[in-house]
Amino acid sequence: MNLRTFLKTALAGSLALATALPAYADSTGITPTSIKIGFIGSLTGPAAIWGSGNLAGAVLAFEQQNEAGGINGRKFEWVSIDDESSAPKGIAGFNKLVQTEQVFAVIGPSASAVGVPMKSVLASSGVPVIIPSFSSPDMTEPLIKNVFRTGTLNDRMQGRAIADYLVQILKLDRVAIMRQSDQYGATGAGAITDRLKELGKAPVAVETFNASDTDLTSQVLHLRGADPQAIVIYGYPAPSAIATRQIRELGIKSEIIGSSATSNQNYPEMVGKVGIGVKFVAVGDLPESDDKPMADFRAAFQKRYPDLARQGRPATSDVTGYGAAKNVIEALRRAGKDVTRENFMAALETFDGYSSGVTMPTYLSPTRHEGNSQMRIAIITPELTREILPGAIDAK
Amino acid sequence: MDILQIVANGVPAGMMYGLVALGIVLIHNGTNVVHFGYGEQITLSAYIVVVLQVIFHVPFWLACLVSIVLSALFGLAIYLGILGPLRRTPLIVQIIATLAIGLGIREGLRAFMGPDPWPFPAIVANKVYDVHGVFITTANIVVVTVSIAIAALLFLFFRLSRYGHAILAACESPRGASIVGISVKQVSAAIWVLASVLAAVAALLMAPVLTLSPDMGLIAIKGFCAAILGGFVSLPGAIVGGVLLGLIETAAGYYISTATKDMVAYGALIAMVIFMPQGLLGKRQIKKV
Amino acid sequence: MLEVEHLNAGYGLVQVLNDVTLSVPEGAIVTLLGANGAGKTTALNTIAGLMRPWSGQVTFRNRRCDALPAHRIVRQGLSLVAEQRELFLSMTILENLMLGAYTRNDQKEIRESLELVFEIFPRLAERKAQVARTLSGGEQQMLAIGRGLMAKPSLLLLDEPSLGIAPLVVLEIFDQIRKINRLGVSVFVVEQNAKIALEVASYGYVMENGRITVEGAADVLRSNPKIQEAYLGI
Repeated sequence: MNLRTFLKTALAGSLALATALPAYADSTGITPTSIKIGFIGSLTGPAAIWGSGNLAGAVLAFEQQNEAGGINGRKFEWVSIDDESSAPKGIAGFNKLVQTEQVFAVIGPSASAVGVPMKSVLASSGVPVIIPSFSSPDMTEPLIKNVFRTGTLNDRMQGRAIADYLVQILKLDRVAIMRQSDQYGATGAGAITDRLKELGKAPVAVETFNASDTDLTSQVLHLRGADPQAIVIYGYPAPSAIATRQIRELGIKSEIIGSSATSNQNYPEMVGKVGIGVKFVAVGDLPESDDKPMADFRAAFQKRYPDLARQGRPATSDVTGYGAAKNVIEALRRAGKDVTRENFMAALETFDGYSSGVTMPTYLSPTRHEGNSQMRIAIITPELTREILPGAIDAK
Repeated sequence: MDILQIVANGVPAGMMYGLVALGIVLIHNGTNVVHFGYGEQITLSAYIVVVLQVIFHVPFWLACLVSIVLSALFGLAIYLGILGPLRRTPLIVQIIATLAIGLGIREGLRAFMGPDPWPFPAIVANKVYDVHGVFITTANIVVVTVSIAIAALLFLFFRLSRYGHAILAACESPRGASIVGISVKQVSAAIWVLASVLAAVAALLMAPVLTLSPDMGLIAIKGFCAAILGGFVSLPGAIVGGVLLGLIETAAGYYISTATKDMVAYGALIAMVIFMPQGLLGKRQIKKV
Repeated sequence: MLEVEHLNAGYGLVQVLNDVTLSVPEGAIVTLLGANGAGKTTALNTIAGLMRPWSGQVTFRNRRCDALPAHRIVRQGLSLVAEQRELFLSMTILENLMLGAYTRNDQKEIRESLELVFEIFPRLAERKAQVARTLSGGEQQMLAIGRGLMAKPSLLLLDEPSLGIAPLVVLEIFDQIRKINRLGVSVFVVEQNAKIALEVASYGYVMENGRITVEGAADVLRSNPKIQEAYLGI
């Protein structure tokens, strides 16, 4: 055998081995009595607004499941790592979960600014990743084999749905956009603009603001000059509240609709009386809703976390974290006793409207890893509470 | 008409920067330390009000008063517990200590009070007045009047009162102050208390307008800019610097583009440092404050 | 009135003062002579409370004051006019003087002291609204002494009043020191300029390397050949 044939054989052999690898059943993190789940998310820093809730909600779901006897005879164990709202720490934390902690699957991360830079690390790990809340379309479009999102509608779909709502349902022509200067605001505003164009319109004004801005007078004056019938605010709760207040204080009476980030339980009071009638995107049922599944969740949450209850929680991020964990539990149930990462992901891909009870139904398939497909609109009532408007808008 | 609106909103926005700058300048003049945790001290005072109100059901006004007192004690604790003992260490150590104080407060608040923003009641019910097409809010009127009043009171205190003079003297020459009988330690403690009371008052004005969250203190970055624009040593300069910054930002945002408003503001700051390093009101440095 | 006994002091690990013992009797002018770096200023600063002594005693009017900080010692009636003068340069003459009276409360008495200072230093009266930074060296020295007097001290500690001042003005200042002494204020003056110091003082000490090496009545010191050679340039 000369060198050339030797190399050929070796190459063929290793190729065969490589293609055979996916068939190798990966049951890391699974023992006969336990399943180890990792959580990576922002528990400190500016993105903690989502991460801390994602963790609290997920832990509650796992604890409830353990009390009910676990799943297929196994109890949940979990390890959580704080990414401190920073992408490098997120990558390090994720690697630690996968390599040192040897977890079966990971829930998280919790914010676009951390998650998007982690994309290639998540993809190359092959570990199932379930994203509870952040909304960057980069994570699911194009689809990554092992990355799924159960929570918030992504910003591209959300932007399109908002445009559809304003133009087709409310029959408005003059739409203005006020967006945060980062990727989050850019993606949402871009999607709205694209959809408006498809509908034969264009935004009458697009203004940007920084997440840390404290005064938005110049932006709002520009908007006022464009005389919009509706203003979409695509940004985080604090600057969006300032924007909403200033829009009203400077005499603009148009519709105002906030992106899903403003779906925060304190938002109506943050904005105050001028916020009455302002709308926002809801990612599921509102945590304060009296519907049975949500009321049960709320009672259980407040019992489990009295400290958080005092802060007015559960919040939307608690709900999405809970929803993500419920999706994981359901997929494990469907994967059966001999669960592997492969059949777990295959089980997730069979979800056709699975409902956790508190989040929007999950639709997943081998060609679709974006679980959510509907948007609901909520409104701030005269009592400064929130109320979901009837009907859901399909998002594409 | 829009130009009037820019002034009507740019001035109060800038006054808030100025309020932060006042505290920073006060501490810097009195103790030579640049306090990078000052913004967080403001945030903390606002949270104290929320805690008292929401958890202990204390009436709003009482909660505000208690917050001012606690803030003063907290300032004293910072001095006695941290910066006093570090007095003789290199300046950089003291500055890092202030950064640590700020970070500790911010993340502590996030851990104990949650990362979500909290609603904060306005001191005066917010109304909007339409003055010939220019919209003016009560919140802004309150911010402007209280800021001016505070700056004026501080100015008079330092110009006219014996104790004010003693503080100025201790700032200018600590040894000179000791040998005429002024306790420099007492003066430093007094400055921390004064600046912390100011932080609590600023908190009451800002929190309803800026939205209270653990990150509200980040406004201190603008406060530093305002302080530098004003010359970093002058109390009235801090307010003037703040107002100027507010007006530049709003006008640049309106006439150039909102994306460049920070760039223009920081550009003005850099130009100021290069061409007028003594700041707007620092030219004739007769009084250090 | 002032008794310093076995005083040791220094900076960090470096000892500067070595077993210094001296005294200033009531009503006298006493001088401490010595070359640059002999430790004279350290001695004065330690007495005034700007530095803590390592060991030894300082007694002022029969009260221990070596553990007190500077701002408390002023209240005992002991006023330091420091070598660097330590004026509040951005303030006016009047503001500096009024701060000198910071420890006192009786407005009437303060006004009397102010008039007295203006009487001794008429130049300060002429310029009372002028900012200290703009004064000449001699005038700043006068202001520093005047500020020291405003505390109504019974003992004035003067650190090198002649330093960096034109010779004619030095004469003027020492005249004024004599005048102050006649008003009942004891004076302890540290000087390099031994000639003029020994003219106004009644008693003197000589310090070398942090130790008192010679002491005696002023006229005895003046005729001491060693001192003539080393400090009087004869």
